[in-house]
Amino acid sequence: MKKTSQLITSLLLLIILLFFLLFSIFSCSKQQDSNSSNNEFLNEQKMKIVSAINNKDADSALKIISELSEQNQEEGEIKYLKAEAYALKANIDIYSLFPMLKIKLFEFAINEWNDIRKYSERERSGIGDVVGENISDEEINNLENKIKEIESFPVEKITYTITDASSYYHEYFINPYLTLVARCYINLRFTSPLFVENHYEWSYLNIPTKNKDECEQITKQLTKGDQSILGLAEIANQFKGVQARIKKLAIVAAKEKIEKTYNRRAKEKYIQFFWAIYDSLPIIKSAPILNSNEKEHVLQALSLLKNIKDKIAIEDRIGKDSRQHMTLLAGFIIIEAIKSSIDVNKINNPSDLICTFMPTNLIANYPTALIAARYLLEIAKETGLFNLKDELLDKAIPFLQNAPNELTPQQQKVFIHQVSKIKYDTGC
Amino acid sequence: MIVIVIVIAPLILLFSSLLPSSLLLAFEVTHQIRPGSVFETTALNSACSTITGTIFASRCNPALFAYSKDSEQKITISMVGKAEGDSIDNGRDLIFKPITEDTIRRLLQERNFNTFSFNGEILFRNKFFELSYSPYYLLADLYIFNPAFLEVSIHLVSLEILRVTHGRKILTFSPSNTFNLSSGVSLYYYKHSYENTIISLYDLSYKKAVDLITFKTLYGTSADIGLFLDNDNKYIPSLSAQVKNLNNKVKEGKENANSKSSLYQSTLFLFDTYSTIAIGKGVNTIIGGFNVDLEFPFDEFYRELRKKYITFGSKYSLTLFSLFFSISKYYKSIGLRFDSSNFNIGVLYAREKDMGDLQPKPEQSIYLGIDIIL
Repeated sequence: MKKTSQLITSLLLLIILLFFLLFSIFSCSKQQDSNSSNNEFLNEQKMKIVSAINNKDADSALKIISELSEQNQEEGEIKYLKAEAYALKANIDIYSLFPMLKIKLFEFAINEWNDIRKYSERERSGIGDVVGENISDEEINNLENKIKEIESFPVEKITYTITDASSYYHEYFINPYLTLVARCYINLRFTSPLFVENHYEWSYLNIPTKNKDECEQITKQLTKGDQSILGLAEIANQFKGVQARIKKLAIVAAKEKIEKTYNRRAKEKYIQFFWAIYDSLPIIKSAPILNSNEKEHVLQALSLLKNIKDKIAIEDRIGKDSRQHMTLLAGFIIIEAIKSSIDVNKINNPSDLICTFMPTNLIANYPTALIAARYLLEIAKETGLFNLKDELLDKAIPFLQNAPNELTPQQQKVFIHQVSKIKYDTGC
Repeated sequence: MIVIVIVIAPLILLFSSLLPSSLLLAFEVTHQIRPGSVFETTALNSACSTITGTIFASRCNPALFAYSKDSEQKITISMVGKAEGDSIDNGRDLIFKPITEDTIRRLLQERNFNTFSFNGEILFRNKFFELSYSPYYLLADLYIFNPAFLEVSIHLVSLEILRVTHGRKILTFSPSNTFNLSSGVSLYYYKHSYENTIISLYDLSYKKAVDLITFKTLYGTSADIGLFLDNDNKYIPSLSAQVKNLNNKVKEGKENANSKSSLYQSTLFLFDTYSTIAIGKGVNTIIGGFNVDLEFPFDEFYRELRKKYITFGSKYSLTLFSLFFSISKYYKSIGLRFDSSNFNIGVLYAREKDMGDLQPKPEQSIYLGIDIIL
């Protein structure tokens, strides 16, 4: 009886195990809800896309993505992979990015490009210098404030100091009675606290005198700033309009200073621009020239990455990677625009760079370079890339946003003219 | 007790198959060396849960502890690890040489997945239980992908395990042949230190690797349970059913996923709860003993059969010499082992694709295993 019971139990167990084996193999996997089915499907597709991208088969990757539903195409990872496929389609891969990364790989951060000067014998280097150093308007603002201050300053309270005086004594006769007339002509150089920097103004006195000695005496007293001499009726009369003139001249001088500052900065920027390019020549040389199709693909990739960036936080891998890749692609576009404007093979020193620079080529690449620069500064603002100050970025970003998408013929002409001037000054 | 084992266990298995499924995990990775592996289990790619009477039997299935031949006390030190292979070469290049464009190109085009694994443990066994301590189960997986903007998926694990195993025959019946049902349990305490992250080459360009990798540690107690049904008929196969890593907090890498959109490496059949059913047979002849085993692995509690990982393992042994062979979709391996009274040594050649279809071509590896019996 016991044996029979054991036999039945054993057979039961065997049947259950065999049934279970068959059941598991042939039917278990069907019990899934539609949500998880879609997730599984999507992950399988992701793996296929990753595999295609790994094989550098961007077309297959894009084809798989295009066959997904619209909802699935909006998924962050899918969108990111789509951007990667477009970058590959533009032939921008790790090998083309490698020279850009190699500069500081395991040594310096790319977001610390200003430190690259430690690796250079030259003091001026790096894109950060060009973007960062001379955007400050502090000096200009100070001058503009100074003009307002001068304009509102009461004329009668304007003070001045005579810093130099020279005289000329002259005697002559007046007909018909042959009366002897002696005059003292005095040239005065004076300054005023109202002037910007060490500005001087000149004035001229024509006063009667008894003789040459008196003329020289008056001149000496004026040089010493003797107030008593200024009280003399004839002199005081001639000094009447000086304060108003100082005010007018101070305003003109301040405006000239602003103009000069602008001109100096423009020139400095061009020089720094060329320095930065010269320093970056190894990178620029390694960057391939993109054709218009490839450029279009990069812009598509950038647009997708920006879309991801706007929606996904930097803490997320996709959020972080989209920002990093945007930086590289945008940098790539800018570098490519520069490379197409110079003849890298003919450059042995900075002056060669200036002389071989082709402003028309840069103008042609301006629209894409502008988009890339907008992206780049946007990332810089968010992540602190290039270590640019917030106030600078607050000015630079709207400036780039408001910049025309294409240069007008007039603007092109100005740019070409300025480059020609630099070339001339360089002795090209 | 018998009723519980016979009725409840299969019911648990059956009902568990109705549990809702979770997301398929990205970058699924499997390994030949698993926690608790010795040379033989590695050589058979764990297709061994019906192979009885060996020193490693209880490693494959705790229910096989009841079939241990030796009743005397023994202390064994076992080590198994990858000794040579493409991954080792690439690892050497990555660590000891500057990263060059050529290195990156080679890794991407030829071998974008590189892995190293090792298990070492000391084992004490008597007729009542088996106690083992594994100070190091090491795993280092490196997957390089996306040439458009290079990313590196890194999974590093250092696992420490203290394990006790016991198994016994719970039922014997003899209708025409004798059937034996055994059950076994292996309880273990683990300390699982890991990092499973993805970093970009850009990250590496401005941060040191040590700043990008932060180890986390999980502690816990887990268990393997197994059933084994054997018989003395020449033609009726043996059956086994097992559930591994019950209550383990490590869930295929999911615990490290920081968002839905994140990709990460997910290890299968290592730390996650999984189950197996196996069918096998052993035959002794005058020219040696033959064992074959066919292993069917499932996710979690028999939720879904992972057909790609069905594995066939076979063993041939003649006195002190053993030959191992295993094959599955992604693994093919052949190994030899020579035994002596105090020292066993085994060598295994494997062609393996730990990442499955994502791996462009199989890696060729040499594994070495050593047992020192005190």
